[in-house]
Amino acid sequence: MSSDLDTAFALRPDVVITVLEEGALLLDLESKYFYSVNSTGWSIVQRFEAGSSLRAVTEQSRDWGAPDGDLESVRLFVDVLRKDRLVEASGAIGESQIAPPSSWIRPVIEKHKDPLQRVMTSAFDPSVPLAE
Amino acid sequence: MTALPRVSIVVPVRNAEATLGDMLQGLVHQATPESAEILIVDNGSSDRSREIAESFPVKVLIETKLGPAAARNLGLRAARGEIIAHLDADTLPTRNWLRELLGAFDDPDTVIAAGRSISYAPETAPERYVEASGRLDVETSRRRHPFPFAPSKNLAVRRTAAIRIGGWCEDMLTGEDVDFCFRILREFPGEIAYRERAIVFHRNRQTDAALRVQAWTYGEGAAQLYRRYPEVADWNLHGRVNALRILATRGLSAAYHRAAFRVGLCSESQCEFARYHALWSWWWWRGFFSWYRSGERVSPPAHPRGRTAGVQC
Repeated sequence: MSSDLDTAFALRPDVVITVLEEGALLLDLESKYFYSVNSTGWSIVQRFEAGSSLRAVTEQSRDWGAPDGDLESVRLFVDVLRKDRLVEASGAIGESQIAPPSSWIRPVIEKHKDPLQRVMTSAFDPSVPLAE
Repeated sequence: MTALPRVSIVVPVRNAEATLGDMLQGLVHQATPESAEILIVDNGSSDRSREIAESFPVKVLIETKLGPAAARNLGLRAARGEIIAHLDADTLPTRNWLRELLGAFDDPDTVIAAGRSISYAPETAPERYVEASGRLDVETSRRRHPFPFAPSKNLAVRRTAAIRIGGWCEDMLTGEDVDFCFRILREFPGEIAYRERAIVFHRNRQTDAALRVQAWTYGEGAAQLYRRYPEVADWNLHGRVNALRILATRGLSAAYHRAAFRVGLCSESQCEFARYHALWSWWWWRGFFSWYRSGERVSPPAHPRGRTAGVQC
């Protein structure tokens, strides 16, 4: 998946994000799955808000202090974003001003086990949802 | 002279050290810079809430009268924005939350608007139940009869309108958002505008005990509304029969699903949902009747009583 280094990708509009004290939480509204990313992962994800490529992210990671040995973890991180369709092909690489992570650590993305619950109905209780 | 902000974000806070830092991170990292001021109203916290708030670029206010309504009123009096946006301390605004919510006010006729609330990565059974019950569904609540409302955890209103109705009712300890929306819509007939992409994540109650207390207090709030507005919500024989129907069907449903699960006729998630639906209803109605009879707040019993509370999948 990583052979096309210069292909531009951007976050899908259906992926919503909240920033946490340590990293961020992503929710794919289509698949209903949550993903947690650490602080470096969040910096990388921000690159894809405006559109980016694996090559651009790799170079940016070097600038942020990533040793060569960690660049494979960057590739794997981006592969997860692509494989789970959190990003999609975009026309171009956009400009973005991103604060670098306070210190470089390997980017981590964790897919949560359970998807968001769907609203249930029951033959016993067709009035759901109700506040009572 | 400093330009006035377009929006004032008011967040009441009481002992929220576990969630406040994440909420404020989400707030100060909105994708699009908006002309906004953030007002954190500490409502008698005894933990590190105030210290956490002061470490962010926000204005911290102190309200000693307990209750989110009193805290929001202090925020309303201090606010300078033409629009007041409300969050709760246990929510996490997504990156485009504010821009999306404010978009509702591009229509000059919009007085009040609500966004979408989604459960924050549910892990425990009570968290899953709240999401599966649709209780966070604003699409439903904003059309609910006779009290259409938007939860205060993700709500915005024009400041002039909020002031005109006298702000939030400080007698309401829960359900104050229902009361607020009712009075806004009575004064400014129309609909609560809904912005599906103005998303906040909400941290639901994680334990059975916390869920019981929430159900109880929500029931109390509903009873207050019935007593406050008998002209639109008359508590009559029909209401009593309906309450009995709800309790009976949900209790039966829990028992049925428990048995069905044991013989493989329903899934664990269906069984779990039925159990918590019965539990919620039991405590909601107990809170309701407790307030309706006495007209005052009574703490929910510390230990669950009643059959539904003991049902296990």
